[in-house]
Amino acid sequence: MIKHVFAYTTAGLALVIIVLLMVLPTPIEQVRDVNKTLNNANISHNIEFITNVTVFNGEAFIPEMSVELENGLIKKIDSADAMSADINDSVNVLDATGLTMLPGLIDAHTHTWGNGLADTLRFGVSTHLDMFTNESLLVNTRSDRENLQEFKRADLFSSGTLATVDKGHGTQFGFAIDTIATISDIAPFVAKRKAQGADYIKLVYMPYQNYMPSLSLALAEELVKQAHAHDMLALAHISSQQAALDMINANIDGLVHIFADSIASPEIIALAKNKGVFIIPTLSVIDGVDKAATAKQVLANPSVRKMMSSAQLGTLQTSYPYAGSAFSIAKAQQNVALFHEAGVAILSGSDAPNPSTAYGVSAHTEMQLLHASGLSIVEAINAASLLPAKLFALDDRGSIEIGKRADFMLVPNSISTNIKSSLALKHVFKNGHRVNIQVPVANDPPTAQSDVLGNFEQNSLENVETLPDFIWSESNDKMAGGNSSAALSLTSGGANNTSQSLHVTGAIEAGFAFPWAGAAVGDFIAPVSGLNISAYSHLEFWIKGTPGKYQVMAFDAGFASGNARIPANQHFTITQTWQKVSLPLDNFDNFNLKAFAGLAFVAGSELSEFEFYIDEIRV
Amino acid sequence: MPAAFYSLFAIMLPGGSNNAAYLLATYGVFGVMAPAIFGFGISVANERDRGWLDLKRASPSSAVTYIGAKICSTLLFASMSLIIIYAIAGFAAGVRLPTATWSLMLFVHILATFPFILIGLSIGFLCSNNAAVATSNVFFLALAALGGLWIPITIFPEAMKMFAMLLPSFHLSEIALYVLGAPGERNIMMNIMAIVIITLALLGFTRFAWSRQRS
Repeated sequence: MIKHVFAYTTAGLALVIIVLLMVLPTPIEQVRDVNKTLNNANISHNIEFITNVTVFNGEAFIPEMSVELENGLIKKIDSADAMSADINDSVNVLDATGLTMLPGLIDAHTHTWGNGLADTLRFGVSTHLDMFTNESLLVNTRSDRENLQEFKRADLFSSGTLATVDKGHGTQFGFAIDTIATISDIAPFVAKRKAQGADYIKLVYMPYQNYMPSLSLALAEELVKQAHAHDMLALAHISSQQAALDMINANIDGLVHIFADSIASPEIIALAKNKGVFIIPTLSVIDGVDKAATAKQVLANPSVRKMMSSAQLGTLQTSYPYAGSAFSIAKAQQNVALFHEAGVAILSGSDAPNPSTAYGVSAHTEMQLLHASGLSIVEAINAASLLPAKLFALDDRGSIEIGKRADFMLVPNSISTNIKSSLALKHVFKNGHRVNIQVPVANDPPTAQSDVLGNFEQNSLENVETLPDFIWSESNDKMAGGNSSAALSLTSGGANNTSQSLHVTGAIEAGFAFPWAGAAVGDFIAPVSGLNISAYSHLEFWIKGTPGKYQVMAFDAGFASGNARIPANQHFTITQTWQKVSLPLDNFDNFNLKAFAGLAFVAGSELSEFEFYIDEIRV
Repeated sequence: MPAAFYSLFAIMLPGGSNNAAYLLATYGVFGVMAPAIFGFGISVANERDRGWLDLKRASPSSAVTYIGAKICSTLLFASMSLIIIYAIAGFAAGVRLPTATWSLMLFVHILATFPFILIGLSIGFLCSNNAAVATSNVFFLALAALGGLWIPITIFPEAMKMFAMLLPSFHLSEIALYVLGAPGERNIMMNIMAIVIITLALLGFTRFAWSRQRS
């Protein structure tokens, strides 16, 4: 026995070793649950591969592809099989089975304010071709759009301000802009636009109407020449066929609206084709002026609604106060079809955030409207990507190609047969980084602790009893370029034998199309969160003064944050004796009672000089 | 002792868990050094002093059998030491490796016994009983510390790095680290060549030592 102890020990040890090797811990299998990781908003790693994706290449939808991203660009596109080996080495893979990759959309007609570039990006629009904004916003645009790092806003190209005459279209937005009076103004005007960072020149040519003054044909022609001399595109805002014809003859590069006053003649179509003019029809905004059917349809879609910020909802819900015969969506679409059939380039532009449009959302509905006007789905997508990139010489974007920016969105595969699928987008990438497409959650506004908005028993306008942040101030149309004025004071003698009331005096002057002046109460200093007043049903106040028709405008936080143009309002009349006015809050259209920001009690265009006393204002 | 050292550095010291796998590769080499150097150096010297070797040489069983039996028992003890270290690494220090890597690294560690056996033998043949204990300790500690088994060699000064290149412990731990796929640049072919040359040199020296003690 003893002589075998060595053998036994060896065998025993070998057995122990084998057992040990079997039971020693092995690495936990790295589970590639990409969806789980991606649903976390705070993703720390960067996606390197999109696999099993259908790629739209500008002509067709190519299934079973993989796309590699690197340093903000598209590095490689190949069949999913061919790239499976590369992909197996990476954990940063997004399995896009069932999804189609479309290039980041280019909205070829926007006006970019506020959070527009962030709002639009959540809808896969990675580039705005702005057609008039405040030039102070252009300071960083050039470096921003050359950046290939993670970026949470769309890139901006802009005309800067627009070329118009004093009091012409474009001067009504509440900030001073350079205007043109004579031919000699034009060369310095164009040079200044270029120096301010503008990428092209937009001029307003609308001489065939009587509402507002316009550039003359001679001035418009000179603007086109000077733009070309500075290597810039010249684009024209027109609203009638005759104006469009003038501009095409003047060698304009593009029209930023389609005319909808009449059906395009064969002559203008042939001329546009021969001169290589492109058209950005902006059917979305024409539809908005007409019946806003498209906006209503989108608003009825809860999943799209969920993706919109309050500003986007606000502009989409706003309707134009007037409808002109020059704005027929049917005629506009017919004209688009005629130009398109003739081979004139049609670009997708929404004119957001005008009433009934919204940043991002309307880039999608514009493609729908173009498709309904006779463009195929492929042509409609190209009108919002490939074509504007080509015509505006944006070489780094507009298509899913190696070396282009990794700006794209992933939409359901049904996009190849249903253009509306683009609004069911699942993922958005900008500079190769995934963008959170959920609306940032705002804190719910606090509930109003009091229904008293003003009883004026204390000698201060800046303290509205128990509502913090609410102050009384005059309100007038000077902010919109008008000349009306108002002044407030506390005066003794109030309604119901109270001791004081608010005395408002003012004058309505011509200057703005919808003049107003009066008194406002609320919190208008950004950031505005508003108050929840949904527990209250009526707005009540006592008022007397210059007899006539007045209105009360209601602002919610979305409006006060800056995008909607026309506030919800209700009318009332004033007599020379105290009377109580009671208005149902529900009658303020599209007004968010959960984010009440303020009210304005104002006189309108029917009055000139006026005064009124107001007291005991409650909701 | 190596197992206790490994526990100390890999488990108890703060930040150790990040290095547990790295330290397993180096302490495995450390673990086989002890039985090889002490087992041979001291026991051979001891037996030689007592005249056991003379008796063996006089007996019919050959010297090769004697050495072979010694090697086998040393391997057994080295393996036991490794088993304990591996068990601590896997079950206490949270090291996770593919089974193939565990096996290959264990194989490397067992093979790593041989150069140290040769060192131990040489000590045993050349030193007296008392001197062997001291000499073994000097070699054991020098190989361990200067070969980078306790602390990574990357933090050594240049001169010490150069010296480490001469030590089998350094090259063996590098090979084990390569098997592990530990971070850092290493020239595995150079390490293998070096260990082969060192082992052959030690083999020659051991033969010399063997002949020297015979005479």
